Amino acid sequence: MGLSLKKFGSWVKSNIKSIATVAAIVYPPLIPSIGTSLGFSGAAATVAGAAALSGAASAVAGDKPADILKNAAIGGVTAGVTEAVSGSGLFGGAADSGVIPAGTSAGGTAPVEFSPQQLSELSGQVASQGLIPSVLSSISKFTGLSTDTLGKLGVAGVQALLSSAGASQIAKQGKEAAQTQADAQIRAAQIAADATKFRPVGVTTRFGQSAFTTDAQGNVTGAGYTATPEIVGYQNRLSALAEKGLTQAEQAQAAYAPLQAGAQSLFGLGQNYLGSNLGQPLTDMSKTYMASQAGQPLTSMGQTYMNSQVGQPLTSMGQTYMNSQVGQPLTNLGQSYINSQAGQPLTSMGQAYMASQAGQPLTSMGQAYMASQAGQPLITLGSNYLKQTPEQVAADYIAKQQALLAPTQENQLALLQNKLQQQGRTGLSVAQGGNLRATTPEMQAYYNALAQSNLQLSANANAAGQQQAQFGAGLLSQGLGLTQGQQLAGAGLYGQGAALTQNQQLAGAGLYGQGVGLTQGQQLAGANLYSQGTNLTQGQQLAGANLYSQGTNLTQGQQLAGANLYSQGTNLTQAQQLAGANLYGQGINLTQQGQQFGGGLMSQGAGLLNAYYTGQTGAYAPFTTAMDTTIGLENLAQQPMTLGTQIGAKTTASAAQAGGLLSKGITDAAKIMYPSNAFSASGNVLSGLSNSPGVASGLNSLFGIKTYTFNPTTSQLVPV
Amino acid sequence: MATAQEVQQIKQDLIASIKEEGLDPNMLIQLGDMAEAVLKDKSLYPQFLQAVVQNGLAEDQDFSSEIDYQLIGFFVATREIVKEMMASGKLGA
Repeated sequence: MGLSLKKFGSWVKSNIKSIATVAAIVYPPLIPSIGTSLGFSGAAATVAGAAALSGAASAVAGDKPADILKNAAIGGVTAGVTEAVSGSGLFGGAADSGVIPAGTSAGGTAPVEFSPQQLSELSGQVASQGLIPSVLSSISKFTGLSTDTLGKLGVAGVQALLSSAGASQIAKQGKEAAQTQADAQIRAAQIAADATKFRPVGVTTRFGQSAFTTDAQGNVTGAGYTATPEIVGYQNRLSALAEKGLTQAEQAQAAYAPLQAGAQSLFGLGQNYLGSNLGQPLTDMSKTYMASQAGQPLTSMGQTYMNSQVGQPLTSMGQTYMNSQVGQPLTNLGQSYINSQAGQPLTSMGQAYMASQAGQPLTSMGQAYMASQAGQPLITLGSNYLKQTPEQVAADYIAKQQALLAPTQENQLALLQNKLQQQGRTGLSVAQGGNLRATTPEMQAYYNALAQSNLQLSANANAAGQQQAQFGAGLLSQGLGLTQGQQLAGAGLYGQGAALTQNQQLAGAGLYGQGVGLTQGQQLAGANLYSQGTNLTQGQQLAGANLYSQGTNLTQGQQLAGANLYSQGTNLTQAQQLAGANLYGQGINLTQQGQQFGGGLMSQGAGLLNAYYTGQTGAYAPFTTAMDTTIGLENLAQQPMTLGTQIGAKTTASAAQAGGLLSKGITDAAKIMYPSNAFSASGNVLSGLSNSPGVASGLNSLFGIKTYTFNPTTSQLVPV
Repeated sequence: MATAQEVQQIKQDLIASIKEEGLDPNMLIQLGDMAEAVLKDKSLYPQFLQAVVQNGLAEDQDFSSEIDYQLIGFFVATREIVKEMMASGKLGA
């Protein structure tokens, strides 16, 4: 059933079935109640209830009652009982109509109704095929008997079973077998019941003696005891004392009557106070205060102020100004001026002029002229003329003149000699005085002429030497003058070129300075504009920040004021509610005090009443003391009977066990006899009965047989 | 059929278990009453199971939709035993 009780633990889980079984003992109405719940009545309700409680029957909601009983029979719990109840109409007439009654076997199945034609076909199959599994299964469905049982019956038995006559016979035999086994069970139960009969034992003590009486069947019909004379004597004397005590007790009521009257008076007064509600006005007033919302206007106003955004316009404007970029055009213009290169053309031109070499051709030409040596040939020539002394020049002059004259002179000599030879005078000489040598006249004349020429040449040679020196000096002078003149002209050209270049470079420097100045001027102007734009933007943003701060402060101021109002309102409400609570407490206390006062009066009244009863009860003390002592003596005298009963109970338990064993033996014998009745549905039922202890109880109940067991706790025989 | 000794033993074990777990006897009596009420009106079965679960004796998954008559019997028997033990002073209220 899947129960998993958490706190009861495993013990409950493993014992729930037995506890449920105990339920029928500790609460006998349970089983029929369950059966009634399942839709049964009368004996069938008991059977079905027992089946459901034992867990053998399906109790699914909507199950048909017949199905529940069938399932119970299949489970073996109520086997036999269903056979008995079938006659009451639940399955009435089933056997006669060819249907084996429900609950026919332990381990069998519920029967199925077959038509005569089907029965005939089944019989034919048995004859032709024997008891093969498929045929046995079909017959099992028809009869409700298990296939094992059918197999034991054999072909002939099964065929007989299938025939209508056989079915009737089976039903009859089944009933007889059921009766036989039921009788056996009844006998077993009777033996067991007899064995469990109470057999007390006689006991004698110094205070008394037990006295049990039985009938002819051994059943206990009476129990008693006899006190000893000593005990009886004591009791008689105590009886006299009790008589006196009782008289005193009877007089006590009148004696204590004033206490009762006083108590009733206090009760009445106390009840008035108990019913009072002295603090009601205060509690009523307190409810008004406790429900007060006096501070609500302030809290509402406070909430409104707390939600105020009064400074929002200023903060918005401030945010706008803070985002302002009003000076941006100026800063942009300033940036463009700062980046200006307006003087760049001038600086470029100036750089170009500064790099100018316009005078370079003149300086180059001048350098060329300055390096000129145009007079050098004249100088060289003049130098060459000046290299020879006048004597060398004269000697060269003479030599050259003589060389020029030599051929002519030699020719004249030859001609003269030729003439003298031809005239035959070649040897003729004429003295010429002094140290001159003798010679012919012609020769003399000749040599004279030659000497004369040399003299002339010598005179001419000196003049020639002087003239050559003068000529050389003149040439040298001319050459030097020529060179110097060209170099001076070159220096002039060089100076002109250098001046030209210098002038241009100076002009370029001037232009470059102008360009740089122009650029710097524009950039400075741009920086000025940038600064102005930045200042303008900053000014506006600062103004915006100021506005934003003013707006925020304005909002915060209102919200703080709102919070203050809210707090004041809340405090006001709380103060009133607390005052109300205080009033309420005072009212409650006042009421409680009144009621406590009433309770005190009631308690005092109860005390008086208690004293009234205590006094009367005390008045009974002599009587009760005597009676208690008498009862104690009686118990002493009663002990022999109690001991006899307890000993008898133990003896009876042993006998009951022996009877139970005998009953089991009979039941087992009925089971052994079962196979011979296997073909009988009722036989199966009785056999199933022996398998379940619960069945015996069901049968006994149905047949009106009661069994008893001894309860050692209560020392009583109780029906099982 | 349980013997008287077995019944007595079951009672003792049940009471010992109740005491050990500290279960409220009145709660068990109430559950027994509800179990018996189910026998008169089956529609009360879910409420009965719910009460068993709410008292911490079982969990939802322990039950099926079918009426468990052993469970009914268990609580009825427990109720009777608890009543008997309370009357005899063996179990406090």
